[in-house]
Amino acid sequence: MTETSQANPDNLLSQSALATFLQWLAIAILVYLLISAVGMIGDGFKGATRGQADELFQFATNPFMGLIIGILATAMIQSSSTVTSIIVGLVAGGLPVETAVPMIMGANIGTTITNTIVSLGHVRRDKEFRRAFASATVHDFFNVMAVIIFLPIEILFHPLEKIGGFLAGLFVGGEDMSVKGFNFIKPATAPVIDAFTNLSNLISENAASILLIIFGIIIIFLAITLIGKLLKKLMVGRAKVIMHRAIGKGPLTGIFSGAVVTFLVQSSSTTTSLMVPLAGTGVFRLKQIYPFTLGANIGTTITALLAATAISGETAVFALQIALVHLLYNTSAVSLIYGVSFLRTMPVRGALWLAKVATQRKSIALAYILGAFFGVPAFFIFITNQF
Amino acid sequence: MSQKEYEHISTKRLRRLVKRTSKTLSEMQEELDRRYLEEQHSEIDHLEEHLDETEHGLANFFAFFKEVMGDKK
Repeated sequence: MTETSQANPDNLLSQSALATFLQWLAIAILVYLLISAVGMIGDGFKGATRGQADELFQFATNPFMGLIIGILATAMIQSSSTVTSIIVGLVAGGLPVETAVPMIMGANIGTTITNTIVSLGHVRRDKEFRRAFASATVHDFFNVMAVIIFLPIEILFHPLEKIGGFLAGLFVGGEDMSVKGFNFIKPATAPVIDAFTNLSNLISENAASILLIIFGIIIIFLAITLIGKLLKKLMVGRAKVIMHRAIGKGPLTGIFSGAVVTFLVQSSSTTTSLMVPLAGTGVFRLKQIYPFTLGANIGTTITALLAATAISGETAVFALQIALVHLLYNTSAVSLIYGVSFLRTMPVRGALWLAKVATQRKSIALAYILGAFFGVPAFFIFITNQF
Repeated sequence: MSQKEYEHISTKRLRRLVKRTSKTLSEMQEELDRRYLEEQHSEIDHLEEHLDETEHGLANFFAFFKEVMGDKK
């Protein structure tokens, strides 16, 4: 080996430190773009609806329609963080919070498709497939149960909306009605928003607001995908430490570590999908996977909260309100369903049963995925349009 | 061992045997638990590989679709 080709440990170390620094810098830029894009959607939506957002979203005032929109949108792009960030932007643009709440609930269900698809990779070994499929669908059953319990209560009494509104009022205020402590966000994001507004105007003055929304959605999707990829690389070591510490501890530690790992990688789909191969090997039991998966539901709410910091002005309070509704909904669902023993076992029993029949007839698994995430929602849209 | 065979063993010896067996059982259980936890830690050590596995969603879906269609034929 020549002298030049020999690796100098000091050089390697500084190269690795530089690579890490660049990756964190990229994340910072992407978070900046994400926040700017949420602002773009808000501005674009305001411009497109000219203050008549509730009329435009009249079709979604039916809460079941809102729920279905949330499910379909999230299942299609496989990212609840993207959908909830877009919803925050739409609320900032005038979408009523009441209309947005079922959409947030739907996003929770839609995101479960990702780990269910990951579990299909174990199809060739029956035992492994059964365990993997059960570990994935326990999340589905839990999220559907949460909607069955919380949506009717929300329609009748609006507790999440009211508590979210109260808490948002504590954080948002002041002369310019922006999130306290985040007043610098608007001037900071203005250059990006202005640049895309000008670009949209250049392309088409008539459709500039719509184009701004489309740009916003694309940027949010790309930013969240790239942030997720970078954080996966950067945070895998930290995630390992957290998971090592959680092994052999109780379910509360499982929920906590699930939330922290999701916060670190900024993706509940990644966290819940990660559990699937661990369950498939049989080394982790469904009982251990279940609380970790629920923690992911809580950890993922940080993205919408981050997105809400992008909004200033009179709608800032509503943007933060819907982000807080997301957090409140997921923590309440975990506390209630996991806290009450007969409710706690229902998702597990449902998942074990479905995994058993899906292992016996694989076409049931396929029918389940296509039906639950696309067929049933589409059918409900059809029915709603008929009456 | 059948019940008849135990009849020849004194109560004192039987108690001693039960105690010893219980201790052995609990030691074996502890060893099983330790191995189980060790396996879990070892799986976590391979977290990067499991993370890679989660990225093949669409490929998984189409492979599964093929498998289901193959079964039908």
